[in-house]
Amino acid sequence: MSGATGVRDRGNRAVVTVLGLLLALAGAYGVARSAGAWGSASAAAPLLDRGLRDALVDNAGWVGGTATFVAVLVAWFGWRWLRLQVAPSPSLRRLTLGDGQDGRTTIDAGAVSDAVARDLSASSHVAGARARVVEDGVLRLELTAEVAAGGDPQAVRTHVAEHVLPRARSALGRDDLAAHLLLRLADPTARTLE
Amino acid sequence: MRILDRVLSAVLALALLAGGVVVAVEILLAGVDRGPWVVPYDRWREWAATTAWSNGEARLLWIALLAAGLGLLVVALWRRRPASLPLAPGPAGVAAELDRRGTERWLGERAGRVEGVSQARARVRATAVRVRAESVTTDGAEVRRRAADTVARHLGELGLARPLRVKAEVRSRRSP
Repeated sequence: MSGATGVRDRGNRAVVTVLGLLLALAGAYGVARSAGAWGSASAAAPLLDRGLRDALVDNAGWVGGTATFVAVLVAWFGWRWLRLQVAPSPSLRRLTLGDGQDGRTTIDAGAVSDAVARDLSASSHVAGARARVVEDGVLRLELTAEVAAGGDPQAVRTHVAEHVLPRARSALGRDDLAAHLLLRLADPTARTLE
Repeated sequence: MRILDRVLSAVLALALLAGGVVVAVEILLAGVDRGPWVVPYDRWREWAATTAWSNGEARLLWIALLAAGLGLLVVALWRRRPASLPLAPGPAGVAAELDRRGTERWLGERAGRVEGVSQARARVRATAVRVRAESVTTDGAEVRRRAADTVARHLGELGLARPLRVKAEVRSRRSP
Protein backbone atom coordinates (compact mmCIF):
# COMPACT_ATOMS: atom_id res chain seq x y z
CA MET A 1 0.00 0.00 0.00
CA SER A 2 1.49 3.32 -0.96
CA GLY A 3 1.44 6.33 1.33
CA ALA A 4 -1.24 8.03 -0.76
CA THR A 5 -3.37 4.88 -0.64
CA GLY A 6 -3.06 4.73 3.13
CA VAL A 7 -4.17 8.35 3.41
CA ARG A 8 -7.11 7.62 1.11
CA ASP A 9 -8.19 4.59 3.17
CA ARG A 10 -8.01 6.57 6.41
CA GLY A 11 -9.92 9.43 4.76
CA ASN A 12 -12.61 7.03 3.54
CA ARG A 13 -13.07 5.64 7.02
CA ALA A 14 -13.25 9.12 8.54
CA VAL A 15 -15.94 10.24 6.08
CA VAL A 16 -17.94 7.01 6.51
CA THR A 17 -17.69 7.46 10.29
CA VAL A 18 -19.07 11.01 10.07
CA LEU A 19 -21.90 9.95 7.73
CA GLY A 20 -22.71 6.97 9.98
CA LEU A 21 -22.79 9.22 13.04
CA LEU A 22 -25.10 11.74 11.35
CA LEU A 23 -27.52 9.02 10.18
CA ALA A 24 -27.43 7.19 13.54
CA LEU A 25 -28.03 10.42 15.50
CA ALA A 26 -30.93 11.44 13.24
CA GLY A 27 -32.40 7.94 13.46
CA ALA A 28 -31.95 7.77 17.23
CA TYR A 29 -33.64 11.15 17.69
CA GLY A 30 -36.57 10.05 15.51
CA VAL A 31 -36.94 6.72 17.30
CA ALA A 32 -36.77 8.39 20.74
CA ARG A 33 -39.25 11.11 19.84
CA SER A 34 -41.66 8.67 18.20
CA ALA A 35 -41.48 6.54 21.36
CA GLY A 36 -42.51 9.54 23.47
CA ALA A 37 -39.16 10.38 25.04
CA TRP A 38 -40.19 14.07 25.04
CA GLY A 39 -43.81 13.45 26.01
CA SER A 40 -46.87 12.11 24.22
CA ALA A 41 -47.76 15.52 22.76
CA SER A 42 -44.37 15.69 21.06
CA ALA A 43 -44.81 12.15 19.69
CA ALA A 44 -48.27 12.99 18.36
CA ALA A 45 -47.13 16.20 16.64
CA PRO A 46 -46.66 16.11 12.84
CA LEU A 47 -43.16 15.63 11.48
CA LEU A 48 -43.37 19.02 9.81
CA ASP A 49 -45.28 21.22 12.22
CA ARG A 50 -47.16 24.33 11.20
CA GLY A 51 -44.70 26.72 12.87
CA LEU A 52 -41.72 25.34 10.99
CA ARG A 53 -43.68 25.20 7.74
CA ASP A 54 -44.73 28.86 8.07
CA ALA A 55 -41.19 29.90 8.94
CA LEU A 56 -39.85 28.15 5.81
CA VAL A 57 -42.48 29.80 3.61
CA ASP A 58 -41.89 33.25 5.16
CA ASN A 59 -38.15 32.99 4.60
CA ALA A 60 -38.23 31.09 1.32
CA GLY A 61 -35.64 33.41 -0.24
CA TRP A 62 -32.69 32.92 2.01
CA VAL A 63 -33.70 29.39 3.08
CA GLY A 64 -33.76 28.36 -0.59
CA GLY A 65 -30.43 30.10 -1.23
CA THR A 66 -28.77 28.46 1.76
CA ALA A 67 -30.19 25.04 0.89
CA THR A 68 -28.97 25.36 -2.71
CA PHE A 69 -25.51 26.36 -1.49
CA VAL A 70 -25.37 23.40 0.91
CA ALA A 71 -26.63 21.01 -1.82
CA VAL A 72 -23.96 22.24 -4.26
CA LEU A 73 -21.33 21.88 -1.53
CA VAL A 74 -22.46 18.30 -0.84
CA ALA A 75 -22.41 17.48 -4.58
CA TRP A 76 -18.92 18.97 -4.94
CA PHE A 77 -17.67 16.97 -1.98
CA GLY A 78 -19.26 13.80 -3.42
CA TRP A 79 -17.53 14.46 -6.74
CA ARG A 80 -14.12 14.95 -5.12
CA TRP A 81 -14.58 11.85 -2.97
CA LEU A 82 -15.69 9.76 -5.97
CA ARG A 83 -12.68 10.89 -7.99
CA LEU A 84 -10.39 9.78 -5.18
CA GLN A 85 -11.83 6.24 -5.41
CA VAL A 86 -11.54 6.05 -9.17
CA ALA A 87 -8.18 7.80 -9.68
CA PRO A 88 -6.40 8.23 -6.33
CA SER A 89 -3.08 9.65 -7.55
CA PRO A 90 -2.61 9.14 -11.25
CA SER A 91 0.93 8.82 -12.52
CA LEU A 92 2.22 11.89 -14.29
CA ARG A 93 2.71 11.57 -18.06
CA ARG A 94 5.02 14.51 -18.59
CA LEU A 95 7.19 16.57 -16.33
CA THR A 96 8.07 20.16 -16.99
CA LEU A 97 11.78 20.81 -16.58
CA GLY A 98 11.87 24.44 -17.65
CA ASP A 99 9.28 27.05 -18.56
CA GLY A 100 10.38 30.37 -19.98
CA GLN A 101 9.79 32.92 -22.71
CA ASP A 102 11.67 30.78 -25.22
CA GLY A 103 9.48 27.78 -24.64
CA ARG A 104 8.95 24.87 -22.35
CA THR A 105 11.07 21.77 -21.82
CA THR A 106 9.22 18.62 -20.84
CA ILE A 107 10.27 15.05 -20.28
CA ASP A 108 8.35 11.80 -20.47
CA ALA A 109 7.60 10.79 -16.86
CA GLY A 110 7.62 7.13 -17.90
CA ALA A 111 11.26 7.46 -18.92
CA VAL A 112 12.06 9.02 -15.55
CA SER A 113 10.24 6.16 -13.78
CA ASP A 114 12.18 3.54 -15.77
CA ALA A 115 15.49 5.22 -14.95
CA VAL A 116 14.62 5.49 -11.26
CA ALA A 117 13.56 1.81 -11.16
CA ARG A 118 16.89 0.84 -12.76
CA ASP A 119 18.75 2.95 -10.19
CA LEU A 120 16.86 1.26 -7.39
CA SER A 121 17.48 -2.22 -8.80
CA ALA A 122 21.22 -1.51 -8.83
CA SER A 123 21.33 -2.20 -5.09
CA SER A 124 22.37 -5.76 -4.26
CA HIS A 125 19.62 -5.75 -1.60
CA VAL A 126 16.91 -5.31 -4.25
CA ALA A 127 15.52 -8.19 -6.31
CA GLY A 128 13.10 -6.07 -8.33
CA ALA A 129 11.78 -2.52 -8.41
CA ARG A 130 9.00 -0.38 -9.80
CA ALA A 131 8.68 3.39 -9.82
CA ARG A 132 6.19 6.01 -10.83
CA VAL A 133 6.00 9.77 -10.54
CA VAL A 134 2.92 11.27 -8.92
CA GLU A 135 1.94 14.77 -7.96
CA ASP A 136 -0.76 15.31 -5.37
CA GLY A 137 0.31 18.55 -3.79
CA VAL A 138 3.97 17.50 -3.79
CA LEU A 139 6.00 15.87 -6.51
CA ARG A 140 6.82 12.37 -5.34
CA LEU A 141 8.41 9.13 -6.48
CA GLU A 142 6.29 6.10 -5.54
CA LEU A 143 8.80 3.27 -5.28
CA THR A 144 8.18 -0.43 -4.71
CA ALA A 145 11.18 -2.62 -4.02
CA GLU A 146 11.31 -6.39 -3.63
CA VAL A 147 13.97 -6.94 -1.00
CA ALA A 148 16.28 -9.76 -2.06
CA ALA A 149 16.49 -12.89 0.08
CA GLY A 150 18.99 -12.03 2.78
CA GLY A 151 18.73 -8.34 1.85
CA ASP A 152 18.46 -5.55 4.38
CA PRO A 153 15.40 -3.27 4.11
CA GLN A 154 17.25 -0.43 5.84
CA ALA A 155 20.03 -0.68 3.26
CA VAL A 156 17.46 -0.29 0.49
CA ARG A 157 16.13 2.82 2.16
CA THR A 158 19.63 4.23 2.54
CA HIS A 159 20.29 3.46 -1.14
CA VAL A 160 17.19 5.47 -2.06
CA ALA A 161 18.18 8.38 0.18
CA GLU A 162 21.82 8.51 -0.89
CA HIS A 163 21.68 7.56 -4.56
CA VAL A 164 18.26 7.21 -6.16
CA LEU A 165 16.58 10.34 -4.84
CA PRO A 166 19.56 12.73 -5.25
CA ARG A 167 20.05 11.56 -8.84
CA ALA A 168 16.36 11.98 -9.64
CA ARG A 169 16.35 15.43 -8.02
CA SER A 170 19.39 16.46 -9.97
CA ALA A 171 18.01 15.14 -13.27
CA LEU A 172 14.71 16.92 -12.81
CA GLY A 173 16.14 20.03 -11.17
CA ARG A 174 13.61 19.61 -8.38
CA ASP A 175 15.07 19.71 -4.88
CA ASP A 176 11.59 19.30 -3.42
CA LEU A 177 11.13 15.84 -4.97
CA ALA A 178 10.17 13.36 -2.21
CA ALA A 179 10.04 9.58 -2.23
CA HIS A 180 7.74 6.99 -0.74
CA LEU A 181 9.19 3.51 -0.58
CA LEU A 182 7.18 0.31 -0.16
CA LEU A 183 9.39 -2.63 0.72
CA ARG A 184 8.30 -6.19 0.06
CA LEU A 185 10.37 -8.73 1.90
CA ALA A 186 11.29 -11.74 -0.21
CA ASP A 187 9.15 -14.82 0.10
CA PRO A 188 11.56 -17.20 1.85
CA THR A 189 9.68 -20.21 0.50
CA ALA A 190 9.92 -19.11 -3.13
CA ARG A 191 12.24 -21.12 -5.36
CA THR A 192 13.91 -19.86 -8.50
CA LEU A 193 15.26 -21.88 -11.42
CA GLU A 194 18.88 -21.22 -12.24
CA MET B 1 -12.30 -5.49 3.87
CA ARG B 2 -10.31 -2.80 2.08
CA ILE B 3 -12.19 -3.53 -1.16
CA LEU B 4 -15.50 -3.27 0.71
CA ASP B 5 -14.38 0.11 2.10
CA ARG B 6 -13.61 1.43 -1.34
CA VAL B 7 -16.80 0.15 -2.94
CA LEU B 8 -18.84 1.55 -0.06
CA SER B 9 -17.04 4.89 -0.31
CA ALA B 10 -17.64 5.05 -4.06
CA VAL B 11 -21.35 4.28 -3.62
CA LEU B 12 -21.73 6.88 -0.83
CA ALA B 13 -19.79 9.47 -2.84
CA LEU B 14 -22.02 8.85 -5.85
CA ALA B 15 -25.11 9.18 -3.63
CA LEU B 16 -23.86 12.52 -2.23
CA LEU B 17 -23.06 13.79 -5.71
CA ALA B 18 -26.39 12.77 -7.20
CA GLY B 19 -28.37 13.88 -4.14
CA GLY B 20 -26.68 17.27 -4.03
CA VAL B 21 -27.26 17.93 -7.74
CA VAL B 22 -30.90 16.81 -7.64
CA VAL B 23 -31.70 18.91 -4.56
CA ALA B 24 -29.99 22.00 -6.00
CA VAL B 25 -31.87 21.64 -9.32
CA GLU B 26 -35.20 21.02 -7.54
CA ILE B 27 -34.76 24.20 -5.48
CA LEU B 28 -33.84 26.25 -8.55
CA LEU B 29 -36.85 24.88 -10.48
CA ALA B 30 -39.13 25.61 -7.55
CA GLY B 31 -37.74 29.16 -7.52
CA VAL B 32 -39.08 29.70 -11.06
CA ASP B 33 -42.42 28.09 -10.20
CA ARG B 34 -41.73 24.80 -11.95
CA GLY B 35 -43.03 21.58 -10.39
CA PRO B 36 -40.97 18.68 -9.04
CA TRP B 37 -38.38 17.22 -11.44
CA VAL B 38 -37.25 13.94 -9.84
CA VAL B 39 -38.21 14.20 -6.16
CA PRO B 40 -41.96 14.43 -5.47
CA TYR B 41 -41.28 16.87 -2.64
CA ASP B 42 -44.82 18.30 -2.70
CA ARG B 43 -46.23 14.89 -1.77
CA TRP B 44 -43.46 14.35 0.81
CA ARG B 45 -44.21 17.76 2.35
CA GLU B 46 -47.89 16.91 2.55
CA TRP B 47 -47.10 13.53 4.11
CA ALA B 48 -44.74 15.10 6.67
CA ALA B 49 -47.34 17.76 7.55
CA THR B 50 -50.03 15.14 8.22
CA THR B 51 -47.99 12.33 9.75
CA ALA B 52 -47.17 12.16 13.44
CA TRP B 53 -43.75 11.26 14.82
CA SER B 54 -45.33 8.18 16.42
CA ASN B 55 -46.79 6.97 13.11
CA GLY B 56 -45.72 3.43 12.19
CA GLU B 57 -44.29 4.37 8.77
CA ALA B 58 -42.36 7.31 10.25
CA ARG B 59 -41.00 5.08 12.99
CA LEU B 60 -39.85 2.55 10.38
CA LEU B 61 -38.07 5.36 8.59
CA TRP B 62 -36.21 6.36 11.79
CA ILE B 63 -35.32 2.76 12.55
CA ALA B 64 -33.97 2.36 9.00
CA LEU B 65 -31.90 5.54 9.40
CA LEU B 66 -30.56 4.34 12.75
CA ALA B 67 -29.71 0.90 11.35
CA ALA B 68 -27.98 2.40 8.30
CA GLY B 69 -25.97 4.75 10.51
CA LEU B 70 -24.94 1.98 12.89
CA GLY B 71 -24.06 -0.23 9.91
CA LEU B 72 -21.77 2.45 8.51
CA LEU B 73 -20.17 2.97 11.92
CA VAL B 74 -19.49 -0.75 12.31
CA VAL B 75 -17.86 -0.91 8.86
CA ALA B 76 -15.81 2.24 9.50
CA LEU B 77 -14.64 1.34 12.99
CA TRP B 78 -14.00 -2.36 12.40
CA ARG B 79 -10.34 -2.97 13.19
CA ARG B 80 -8.40 -4.06 10.16
CA ARG B 81 -5.01 -5.54 9.85
CA PRO B 82 -2.67 -2.91 8.43
CA ALA B 83 -1.75 -3.29 4.76
CA SER B 84 1.72 -1.96 5.49
CA LEU B 85 3.93 -1.14 8.45
CA PRO B 86 5.60 2.28 8.50
CA LEU B 87 9.29 2.33 9.27
CA ALA B 88 10.73 4.76 11.82
CA PRO B 89 11.63 8.16 10.37
CA GLY B 90 14.89 7.93 8.45
CA PRO B 91 16.61 10.02 5.83
CA ALA B 92 14.82 13.25 4.98
CA GLY B 93 12.47 13.03 2.03
CA VAL B 94 12.15 9.23 2.08
CA ALA B 95 9.15 7.72 3.85
CA ALA B 96 9.24 3.93 3.92
CA GLU B 97 6.80 1.13 4.72
CA LEU B 98 6.98 -2.64 4.80
CA ASP B 99 4.37 -4.69 3.01
CA ARG B 100 2.47 -6.64 5.69
CA ARG B 101 2.08 -9.94 3.84
CA GLY B 102 5.75 -10.19 2.98
CA THR B 103 6.64 -9.30 6.56
CA GLU B 104 4.37 -12.05 7.87
CA ARG B 105 5.98 -14.66 5.62
CA TRP B 106 9.43 -13.40 6.58
CA LEU B 107 8.73 -13.51 10.31
CA GLY B 108 7.03 -16.91 10.01
CA GLU B 109 10.10 -18.27 8.23
CA ARG B 110 12.37 -16.85 10.99
CA ALA B 111 10.20 -18.43 13.68
CA GLY B 112 10.28 -21.72 11.77
CA ARG B 113 14.07 -21.81 12.11
CA VAL B 114 13.88 -21.86 15.91
CA GLU B 115 15.13 -25.12 17.40
CA GLY B 116 12.21 -27.38 18.20
CA VAL B 117 9.78 -25.66 15.78
CA SER B 118 8.64 -27.73 12.83
CA GLN B 119 6.62 -24.97 11.18
CA ALA B 120 5.37 -21.51 12.08
CA ARG B 121 3.12 -18.77 10.80
CA ALA B 122 3.00 -15.12 11.79
CA ARG B 123 0.05 -12.75 11.59
CA VAL B 124 0.59 -9.03 11.97
CA ARG B 125 -2.12 -6.93 13.57
CA ALA B 126 -2.19 -3.23 14.36
CA THR B 127 -0.33 -3.54 17.66
CA ALA B 128 0.96 -7.10 17.85
CA VAL B 129 2.35 -10.04 15.97
CA ARG B 130 0.88 -13.44 16.69
CA VAL B 131 3.11 -16.41 15.98
CA ARG B 132 1.60 -19.88 15.80
CA ALA B 133 4.14 -22.64 15.77
CA GLU B 134 4.10 -26.41 15.81
CA SER B 135 6.71 -28.27 17.75
CA VAL B 136 7.72 -31.87 18.01
CA THR B 137 9.23 -31.37 21.45
CA THR B 138 7.32 -31.70 24.68
CA ASP B 139 8.74 -28.55 26.24
CA GLY B 140 6.25 -26.18 24.61
CA ALA B 141 6.92 -23.33 27.03
CA GLU B 142 10.62 -23.19 26.21
CA VAL B 143 9.97 -23.35 22.46
CA ARG B 144 7.34 -20.61 22.80
CA ARG B 145 9.81 -18.37 24.62
CA ARG B 146 12.51 -18.96 22.00
CA ALA B 147 10.10 -18.34 19.11
CA ALA B 148 8.82 -15.11 20.71
CA ASP B 149 12.38 -13.89 21.40
CA THR B 150 13.45 -14.66 17.84
CA VAL B 151 10.53 -12.85 16.26
CA ALA B 152 10.97 -9.87 18.62
CA ARG B 153 14.65 -9.65 17.69
CA HIS B 154 13.93 -9.74 13.95
CA LEU B 155 11.16 -7.17 14.37
CA GLY B 156 13.68 -4.92 16.09
CA GLU B 157 16.01 -5.26 13.10
CA LEU B 158 13.28 -4.03 10.78
CA GLY B 159 13.11 -0.64 12.56
CA LEU B 160 9.35 -0.17 12.61
CA ALA B 161 7.92 3.21 13.57
CA ARG B 162 5.68 1.56 16.18
CA PRO B 163 7.00 -1.45 18.06
CA LEU B 164 4.74 -4.51 17.92
CA ARG B 165 4.18 -6.87 20.81
CA VAL B 166 4.86 -10.53 20.10
CA LYS B 167 2.48 -13.28 21.17
CA ALA B 168 3.57 -16.82 20.49
CA GLU B 169 1.53 -20.01 20.68
CA VAL B 170 3.11 -23.41 20.34
CA ARG B 171 1.25 -26.61 19.71
CA SER B 172 3.26 -29.62 20.64
CA ARG B 173 2.91 -32.61 18.37
CA ARG B 174 4.37 -35.99 19.15
CA SER B 175 6.73 -37.25 16.49
CA PRO B 176 5.46 -40.42 14.75
